[in-house]
Amino acid sequence: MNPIFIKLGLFIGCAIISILLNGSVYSNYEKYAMEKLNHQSEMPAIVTRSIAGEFDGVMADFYQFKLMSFMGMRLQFQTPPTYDEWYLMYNICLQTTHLDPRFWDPYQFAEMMLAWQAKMFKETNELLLIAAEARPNDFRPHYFLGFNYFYFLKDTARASHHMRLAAKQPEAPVYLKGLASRLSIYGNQTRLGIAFLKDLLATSSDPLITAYFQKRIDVLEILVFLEDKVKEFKNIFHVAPNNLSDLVENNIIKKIPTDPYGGEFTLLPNGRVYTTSKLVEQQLQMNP
Amino acid sequence: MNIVLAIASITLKEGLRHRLLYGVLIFSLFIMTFSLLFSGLFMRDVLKVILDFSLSAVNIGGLLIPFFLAIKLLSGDIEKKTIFTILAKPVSRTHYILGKYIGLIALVGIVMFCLLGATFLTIACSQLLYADFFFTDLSYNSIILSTISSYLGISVLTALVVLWSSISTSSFLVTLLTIATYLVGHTVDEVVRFVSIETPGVEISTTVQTTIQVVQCIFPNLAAFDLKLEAAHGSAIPLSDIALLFAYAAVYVIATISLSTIIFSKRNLA
Repeated sequence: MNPIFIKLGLFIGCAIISILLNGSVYSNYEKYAMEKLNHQSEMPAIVTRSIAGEFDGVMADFYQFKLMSFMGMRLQFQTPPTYDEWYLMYNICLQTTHLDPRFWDPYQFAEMMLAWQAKMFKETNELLLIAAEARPNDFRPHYFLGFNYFYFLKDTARASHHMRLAAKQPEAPVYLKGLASRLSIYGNQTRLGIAFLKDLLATSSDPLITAYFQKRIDVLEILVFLEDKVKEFKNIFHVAPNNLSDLVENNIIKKIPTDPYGGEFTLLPNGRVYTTSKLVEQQLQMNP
Repeated sequence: MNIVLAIASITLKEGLRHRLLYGVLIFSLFIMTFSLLFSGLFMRDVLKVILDFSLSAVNIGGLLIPFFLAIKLLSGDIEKKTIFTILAKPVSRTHYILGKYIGLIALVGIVMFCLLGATFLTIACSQLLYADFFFTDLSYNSIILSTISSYLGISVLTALVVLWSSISTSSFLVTLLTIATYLVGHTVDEVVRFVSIETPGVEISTTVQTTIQVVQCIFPNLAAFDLKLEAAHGSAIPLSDIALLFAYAAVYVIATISLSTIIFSKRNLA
């Protein structure tokens, strides 16, 4: 037999087997990949920078990519990160910002995930302060800090301070100019939360995270909608409804909307509407 | 001068004929295409990621010349004894060293120029793929100036390759010395800054401090030529900074090449 045919046969045969094995190799690796948020972030910053040499930007990109692929996998499979993993993610963000303090993605990731999901407000704010120093002409670090202090930490004084600093930046949106002084009148924090999340998503290209936060916006909008309907009920009947079913029974709404997170909407005595899901993916709440 | 240019031209042609160069170009173009797709996985700094990869590819393309081709062309002449054919003609050893150096940095310039063109092409393609607001920080000036700065850094490294080749007969040793120079050149800045921080309770011995000062004086600060992050973030690079780097590189190159010619003139090539 012609040796060329033997070689060709070997090539085609092995190529087909390798393609067939591909699926199994990928699915087999998945169980390791889930655990692959390693302890690279524990390396001292000076060592990381020295290893990266002149390719510190590329190394920062890879760190950030690792972080996003890990979180993406967790969102996809709805597996909750442990407290240690959240903390490792924070450390990777920190390491990335040491390599390239002006790289915006780690800060945006911290705001979207560490603040909203893991409730790591102190750590997120620490990162945002690095951003504020590294990106002196960017309004977003102070805007995010202001939002965190107002929405999560209920510290209006610090929130106003950061909003004022954000508003001073040349590219700050016009609405920020007055927001600093008007923060205290935002009794309804939900509306500000919606506006903030929409701002956050407007400049994000990651489809998985966009879909994830769109769901949160949808729930916040349902909360605002229901609170508006409670007010409408009060205006018509001059008495507050006892529960949300009263709105349905009196034809103010057709039915109580479903919480996409799996929680239940409840009317609080102060007229605010609350959901038992706490606006957090039930399976993804931080494990203590 | 004509002799120097003739040797430079031969070196350049010899370099351009080398297959390694095509490998460098294909590798760099692959990185740029990869960056185009990879950047789509990021949330906001898409342009930054593209430029990180593309400018690194431009740099790697340039760096592979002093690391591989320069050593091959310089030490190869001595190892294969082809240098005797050149020196048999009315060519002095100084002419030879100067011509080789000019030829090599011209080669670096051509490779980096081609890859810079490919970077612009990558940016143009990415603008078709991604929304406009990802490109608000784009500054072609910074990209060009950062590449010029990288080119100056690689020219300094190439001068050191010439020096090591004039000292050593072994291309392996020259490669090791070049790698060491590159690593020291890129970390010396970080080490000097680290040592200069006064930490209470931590005392750095005078021997260590003196060693660092000596290293700082001998080895070039190659990290200073790295302005890729500035370009990636679209920050303005002042022309005065480039002028300073140019002066630093020029002085360092002249000193190194002068020393190389002195050593090479005294060297026994037989």
